[in-house]
Amino acid sequence: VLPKILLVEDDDIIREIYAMKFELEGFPVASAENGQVGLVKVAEFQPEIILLDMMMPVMGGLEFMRELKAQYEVLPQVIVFSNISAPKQVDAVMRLGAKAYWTKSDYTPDRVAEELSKLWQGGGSVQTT
Amino acid sequence: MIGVTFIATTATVFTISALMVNRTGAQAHNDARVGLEEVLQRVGMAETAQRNYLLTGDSSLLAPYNTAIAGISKQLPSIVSSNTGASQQAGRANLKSLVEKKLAELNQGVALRQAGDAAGAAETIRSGASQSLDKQLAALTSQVQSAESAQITRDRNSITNLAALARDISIVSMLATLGLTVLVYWLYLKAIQSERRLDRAKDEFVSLASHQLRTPATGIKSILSMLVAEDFGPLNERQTHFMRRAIQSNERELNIIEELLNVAKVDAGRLILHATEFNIDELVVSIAGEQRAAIAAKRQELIVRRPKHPLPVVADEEKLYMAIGNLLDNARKYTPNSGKIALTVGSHHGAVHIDVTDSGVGIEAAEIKNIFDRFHRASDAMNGNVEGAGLGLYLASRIAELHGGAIEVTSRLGKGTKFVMILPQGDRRVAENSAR
Repeated sequence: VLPKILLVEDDDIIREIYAMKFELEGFPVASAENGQVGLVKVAEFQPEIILLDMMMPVMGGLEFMRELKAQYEVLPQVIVFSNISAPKQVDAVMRLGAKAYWTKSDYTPDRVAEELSKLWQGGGSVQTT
Repeated sequence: MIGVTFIATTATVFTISALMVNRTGAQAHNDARVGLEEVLQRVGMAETAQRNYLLTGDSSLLAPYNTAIAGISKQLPSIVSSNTGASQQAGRANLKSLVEKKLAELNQGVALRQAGDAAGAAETIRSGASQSLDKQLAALTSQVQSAESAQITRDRNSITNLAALARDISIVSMLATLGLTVLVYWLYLKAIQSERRLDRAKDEFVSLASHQLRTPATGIKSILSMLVAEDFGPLNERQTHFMRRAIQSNERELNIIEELLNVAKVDAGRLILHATEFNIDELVVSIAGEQRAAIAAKRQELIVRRPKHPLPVVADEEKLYMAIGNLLDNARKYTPNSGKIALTVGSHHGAVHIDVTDSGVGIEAAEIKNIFDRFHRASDAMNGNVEGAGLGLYLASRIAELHGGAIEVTSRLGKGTKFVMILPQGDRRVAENSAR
């Protein structure tokens, strides 16, 4: 059984293409265009993995993580998936419980799907790239 | 504020100078007055001794007379020449003249007595001329001493006024200096605040530029990768070929964006090294493997030489991957088809040397000093023969410098080029080094 994935991403193209790839690979998937919608989807969809962008309108990734941590005792696996280059923000979100930071431009949908499968099969061990 | 401080300080210096001049003048007047009193006192002593001698004829009584006369003779010239102003000088010159006349009269009396003329000697005392001389001496002495006392009083008043002025100016000067110190400190704080704002702006720019430039290219990359994986349906051979060309162009675009962002980070002082311990020889082999296909596409020969034993370093592996990769990529670009490239890693005198030697077009001697400049392109590249943004060597050299190393280059036009990246084997301090 593959994990449920929530994609919190403001870029329409990336959100659409990754959601399509995850569906093709058999992952149950939901998506949100910002952190605020993302929190609603967490409550409704109860994902096991969240792919989280950092720089988004309305509510960014860092604020989303703060809210998530405040609302839930046990967090889903959060992987920061962003093109942002801000070491302080990345450090902050990692301290809040994110499992890894993946630079979006280094990945393809195929590779992300493969890494997420490995992550799920490997019991949550994941490398920051 | 600086002007006020300068004026106040200058005024203080002038006031203190004036105070010193007045003090010297007052001291001279006082010395003159005391000296004058001593001279007149000695005249009195000489006269008393002379009277005793004239009355008794006892020569032993001439000893105090002679002592007093000697003292007067010695002291009188210095009083007249003392530095006390023209009017006082004239008064004392007259007084000197009268004193000299008095001494002459006393000497005359002594001389007559010594010659046995006691009556003649007594007459010199009782004569009208002597009485008149005594009166003149007394009157002039009083006049000169009054003038000196008046001058001393004026000098003392002047000193008091100048001292008060110096005190006031010193207070103004002190306040101005205090104000200046506060102003300088305030400007210093403002400068620090500006620098912090600038630092934040640089951070925000690099962060925003990174996100905004990468995101569209990442979207294209995602779509192309799914298309070529036939996630949207099968492609024919021609479609697959051009899809792969599109992926290559997209990768080049992302690489250029990455290089531009790294240049922005270097310029903003934000390229931070994250050092770990790893084997540099393994990294070099990995880079060679990564680029082997591109090198083979130009039918070039790549030789990799590594030491027999692992060569551990403490450095930023990702940044060195980029820097050494840039050197190798540069060699591939500027070496013609079927040329040779050698990538050698070793250690010399405790430093790591990574040599990239090619049999390429070489670099003109005049151009060598510019090859590590940002956006510098060799002449071949400018003719459109070589792709790239002119940032690879710049970043490689900056990354080497951040590690405390350097890149040396030697080249022969038409024969080839050798780049040597020299790196210290490193310690944990490298971890926190940045591009500042």
